[in-house]
Amino acid sequence: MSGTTAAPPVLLSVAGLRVRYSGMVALDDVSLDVRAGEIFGLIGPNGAGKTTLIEAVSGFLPDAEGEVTFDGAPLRGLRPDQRVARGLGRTFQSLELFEDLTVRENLYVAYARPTWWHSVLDLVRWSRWPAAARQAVDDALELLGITQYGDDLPSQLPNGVRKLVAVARAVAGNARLLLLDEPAAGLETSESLDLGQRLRGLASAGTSLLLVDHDMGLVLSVCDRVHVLDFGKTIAEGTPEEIRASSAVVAAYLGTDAESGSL
Amino acid sequence: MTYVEFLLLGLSAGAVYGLLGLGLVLEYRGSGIVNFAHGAMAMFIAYVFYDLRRNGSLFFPLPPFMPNQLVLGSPMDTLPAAVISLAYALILGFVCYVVIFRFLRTASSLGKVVTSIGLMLTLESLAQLQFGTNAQTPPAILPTTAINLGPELIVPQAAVDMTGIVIVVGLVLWAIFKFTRFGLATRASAETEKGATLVGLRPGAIACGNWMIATVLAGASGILLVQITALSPTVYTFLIVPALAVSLVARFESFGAVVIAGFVLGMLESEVTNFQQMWSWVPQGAQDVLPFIMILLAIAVRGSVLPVRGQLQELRLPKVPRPKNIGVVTAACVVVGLIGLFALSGNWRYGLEVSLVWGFICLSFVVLTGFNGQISLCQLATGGVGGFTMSHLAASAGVPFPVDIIIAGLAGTVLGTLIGLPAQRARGVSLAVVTVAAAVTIDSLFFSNTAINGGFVGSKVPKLSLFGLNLDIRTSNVHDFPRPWFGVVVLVLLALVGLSVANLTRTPTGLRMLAVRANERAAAAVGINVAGTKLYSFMVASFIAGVGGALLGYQQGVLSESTFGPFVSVSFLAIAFIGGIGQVRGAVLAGIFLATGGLMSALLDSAINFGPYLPLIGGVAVMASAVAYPNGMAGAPPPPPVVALGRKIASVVGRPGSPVPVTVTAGIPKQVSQNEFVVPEAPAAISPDGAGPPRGRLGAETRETRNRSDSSSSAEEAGR
Repeated sequence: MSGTTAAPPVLLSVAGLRVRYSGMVALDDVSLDVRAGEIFGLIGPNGAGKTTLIEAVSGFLPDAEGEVTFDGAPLRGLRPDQRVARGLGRTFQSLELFEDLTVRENLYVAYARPTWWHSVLDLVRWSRWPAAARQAVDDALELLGITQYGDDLPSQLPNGVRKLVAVARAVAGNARLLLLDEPAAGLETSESLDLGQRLRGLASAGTSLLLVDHDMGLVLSVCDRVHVLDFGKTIAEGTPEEIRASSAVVAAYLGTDAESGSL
Repeated sequence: MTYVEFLLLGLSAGAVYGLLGLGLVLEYRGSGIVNFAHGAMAMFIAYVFYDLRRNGSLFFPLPPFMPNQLVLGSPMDTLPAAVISLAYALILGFVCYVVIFRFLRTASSLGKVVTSIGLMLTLESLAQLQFGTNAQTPPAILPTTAINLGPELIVPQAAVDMTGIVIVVGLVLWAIFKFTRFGLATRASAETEKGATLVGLRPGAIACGNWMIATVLAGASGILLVQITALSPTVYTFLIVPALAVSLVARFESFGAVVIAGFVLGMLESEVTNFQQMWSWVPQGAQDVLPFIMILLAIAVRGSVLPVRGQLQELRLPKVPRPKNIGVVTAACVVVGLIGLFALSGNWRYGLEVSLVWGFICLSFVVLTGFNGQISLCQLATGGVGGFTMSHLAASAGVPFPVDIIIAGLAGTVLGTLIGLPAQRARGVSLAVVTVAAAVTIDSLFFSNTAINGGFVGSKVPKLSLFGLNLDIRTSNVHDFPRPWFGVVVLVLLALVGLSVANLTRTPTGLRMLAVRANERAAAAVGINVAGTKLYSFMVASFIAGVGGALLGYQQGVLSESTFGPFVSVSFLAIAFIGGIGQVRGAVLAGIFLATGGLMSALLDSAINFGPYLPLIGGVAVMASAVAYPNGMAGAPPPPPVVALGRKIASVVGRPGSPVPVTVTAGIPKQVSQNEFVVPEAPAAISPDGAGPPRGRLGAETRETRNRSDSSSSAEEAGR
């Protein structure tokens, strides 16, 4: 699609994003661009505003100031579900799976977008999942390597698998850009490496990713570019190598959160 | 001057609303429960007081066939009677909390609402059984003199006294919460139960204390109410609506706001009755609309108004199994139903027909509350709009069946859409509050209007006929009643709509409803229009209710206000809940076993003349079921004899299509939580779903959903 010289087009553009929570500034004039096909990392110490950025971009903070454009169109005033319909998917740090739907149904409900007319028809027509839906759900399960858990309820699954289900659900929604909120939190190193592989696979299948995580190993190994926030402000942006070398980043991490400072 | 006079007259009612509201706030802050039975508690204590004053006997909450009165002597004076009644209230509050509400800390909002409705039904039917439904006028307790405030401006002494009482109570509560350890502990555990437990507080004891104080306040409200309105079970019970309105305005938090809102509401209501006398265009019942408006305003201004409580555990929602073999099962049920309709006769056949109609109406709760988690207490009001629309259309325009029931359904849909709109902002208990107020409003504005309800003789419903075939339940020959053909019509409709509802859980639309029920945030994040999905559920459920209301009309031959009153609306949510609100067969079970006048009540009536006690049994069953079986009858483990029989049948026949029987070390599997079973010794082979044969006469349907119900997976797990 893109040549070797021309950079791929910007998919998500955030300009001058500012979010206040009852007096406290959570995000202060943050701007970033995510390009089509890339894995874009967003890191920062606790309270840096990473999750807030995802909330604002996905439409859960309608009062956020600043411009968010997706695929060239401004998103202002759109509800979360309308943003999803445009191809902007997300996961939650707390997963928020539908606990009384099976894994497959969790994915199907994200895949299928019945119009009001379909919803009326659903009252009178016999329902079988269409082949395309079955295929899409199976593909997403396979991509994350959780096919065997398809018919289980999420509450029966171990935490690592639940995290993959959350990602698979967002994938099944046909997102062009996925906002992933700490998908590796609480995973063991081997699981985290495995997750990195799967995210790479996702990106090469054509989905762009904005990855928020604490696991520096994961972020720096899979991301094409990384953006660093501290106290709601941008302190660095660049390739993983540049970030590794940035003194501002090291200071921010060592100064506030020594535990994850092992760069 | 009459304006001011009417405002002042409203002080007494306002004081009572405030006092009731204070109790509601205490219950909510203490235990996280919005107690819909608070008005019923006030009513009950008022009767205890009345019995002491009038007869000098102490009334216990037992049905009349048991020894339930202790004769203390001659009629008592006000003061000792009041003291004994309030002490009684203290104990009642303790018992209610320890026996019932203590177990609801992990229940869903629905479970909590339904349980308090169960208490409401229980107290109401106890009072009715003992004292009858007629209004009683006990002697006044406060002076009946008036104070002269100026030329043509007088205010009753009692209004002033009551105002003083509620203000003092409000101040005392405020001081307790501000300055005492008990108040601090209550505030802490309302904030976070976990945290309160960690610092050594006992949320259970705190909640119990608050319930006891709240019940005493309810009792005091009941006793004071005697001053301003005659004592009757239903009127007092439904004072819960204005009480909820003032509590909601105060966010179930501020005592001061409750008291002020109470006075505002009481005075406005009184002023509206003044307007009714001045201008004829102000409709009767307009004053009952005020609490509804107050609630809507509170919701509009504040959105999801109730402060969130820090819960200890995840909430349990009723299971919604995805049924298989729907077609076969439905066909089998229809056959059983047909056999029943033609084999039974007389009261039993009529009971079955009534059951089918109520089963149909309960489907409305399955869609709205079971699948989508929206708690509506006004589905019967929706049904009423359908029913009266049908009867008026048929009478005036001669619209034939089945067009008329479709129009009835559409009329219901219109109302459902209107009610669904505030539901965009109110969820859980708040929605229950909105809808109970809506039920009362619709009742007093429309159903109690003689132009609509047909006055004393009721609103006539024409004969049911299709293409010239007479399908009506009656003919001119009295001995012909009840004819089975009406039942056939309802059975066919029930089967069709039941199929549609059962099928819905497998469609994207149905899954969306479940997703919204489970987690609105996540639903929005996967692209579901949450508001639209809720509205859709309201529309579908209201269509079903509207058609159901019309069927009820055909069954009764005449519709009246009482058919669709708020009490019916409220009780049927509870009845649908015990049947099993997440599944179609739950609605059918509810219709058969629990509906008043249904098959079960016909059987009980002819066997041991137990009919009058059915509401009481129902109320107790609602509480027990909400505490022990959140999935209702349809999801509960079968009763022991059935398990034993099931074992036999399963071991002899096996079951086509089912996996190999699993051996578990099982006597009777006892469900301890949603997914866990405790199994006592005695090894036995049971079928994998642990179901045994279908219960009752509901043959195949019981079997099919059981295959997917959670008792199956649990029993399997226990076997592994």
